[in-house]
Amino acid sequence: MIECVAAHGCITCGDEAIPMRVIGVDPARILALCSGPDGERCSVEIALVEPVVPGEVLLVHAGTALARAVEGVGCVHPGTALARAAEGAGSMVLDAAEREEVPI
Amino acid sequence: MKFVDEFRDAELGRALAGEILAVVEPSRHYKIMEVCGGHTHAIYKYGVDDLLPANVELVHGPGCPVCVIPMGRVDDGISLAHEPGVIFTCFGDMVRVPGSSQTLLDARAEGADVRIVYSPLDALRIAKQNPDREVVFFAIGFETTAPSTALTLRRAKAENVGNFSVMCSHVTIVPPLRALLESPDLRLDGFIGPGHVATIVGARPFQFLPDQYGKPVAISGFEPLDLLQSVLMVLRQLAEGRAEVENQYARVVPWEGNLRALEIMSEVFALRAHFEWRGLGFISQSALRLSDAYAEWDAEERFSVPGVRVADPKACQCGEVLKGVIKPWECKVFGTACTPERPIGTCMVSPEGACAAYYNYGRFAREREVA
Repeated sequence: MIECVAAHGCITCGDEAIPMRVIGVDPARILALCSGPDGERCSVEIALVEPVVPGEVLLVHAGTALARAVEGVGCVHPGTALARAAEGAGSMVLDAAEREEVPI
Repeated sequence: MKFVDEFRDAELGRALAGEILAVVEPSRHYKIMEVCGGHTHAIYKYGVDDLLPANVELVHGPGCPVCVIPMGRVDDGISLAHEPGVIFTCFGDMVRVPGSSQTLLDARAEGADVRIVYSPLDALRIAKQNPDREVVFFAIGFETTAPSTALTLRRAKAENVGNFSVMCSHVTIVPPLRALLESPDLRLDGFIGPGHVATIVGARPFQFLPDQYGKPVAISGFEPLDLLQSVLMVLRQLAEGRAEVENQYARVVPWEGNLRALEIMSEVFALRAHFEWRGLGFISQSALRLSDAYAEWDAEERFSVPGVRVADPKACQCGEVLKGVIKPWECKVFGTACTPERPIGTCMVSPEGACAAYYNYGRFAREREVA
């Protein structure tokens, strides 16, 4: 899970947006289970960018996807965390164990 | 790591620095404001300013959402946190912001149930898990964060979560920029625009800067080379006598913004007539409240909130820092009475605050040496 840790500075207060890869989608609840550059997972509100599919990389702030990143069309700057997340993007689908791990 | 060396290639940085050097007039002093606290943090983390000529000065703007919350508003939050049966939720940096007598962390130590959340959705989840408690979310942040609060409130309404409410302190970025430009004690040549705010509002709202004030703008990303390139874009405009909004962060920022986000925000929020900003005073139509359609989830309607205005500590010069009038190390209490461990002012609380950025990355020592 992504957490706000006061001791290290709050990423939400810092207006940071994290690139996260979509692992699975729950269209009925407009949520996606996503994985960040360091493998951290959380459920993400996708109402602002839907529809999304597994493998896409979203720019996430405060648990909400603000934008979709598309590699190869100038949206992903080489070397950024966004690019590193995109490197790992595949066509993974959410299995039952993953759903149990992070309920969305 | 693949691409990392290339992207942070020192040669590329030096080449940009060389282009910047070539475009500036040696006899002119340039003041460029980076609006976003995230940019301030990145500039000092990566030492971007060390690559700039001495006559190009970066001025730190009011775009740190924690830093602009006035002390009275913090007291209001602490008052709510002490209400019996309340679970008070907020983002991480807010718990350390000093109110007039204590912080939210102090309130927690006294027994108040104060919890840190990463997202408003986490606060809603806590409300659903604790139906016998009242859960209040202290919503702060610019237009980057406001959509998340709006979507959470839509969920609360759709799912009829009655024990959840929001103390809305979201602010908007354009009014304080106007206030700064009207300020007689600050002369600015151009702006580095806030990239993540612009992801939502687009580049268009910053058009008033060139149109009405003749100031060039570059909407910028947050990597060091993004910032160097944005500085170069502003300086080129100045050299060529242009004043435009240029979008360096086009890989993420559409000109029109995220229209779906703007639509949802207009449904859930309404503009406050006035809102107090730390150091900047009251600014008209610069903050959001919940719209009438969401009044049921408004913590300020549900609870009695003191709403008392509290003057900032006299020793603290956060106001001047936020306006870019003084550098953080010029404040009388910087690094002595006011440190990240025991902050007096909000600029020292959040890592995005100019004072904390200076302190954490050693600018304090360097500036003193230079002086």
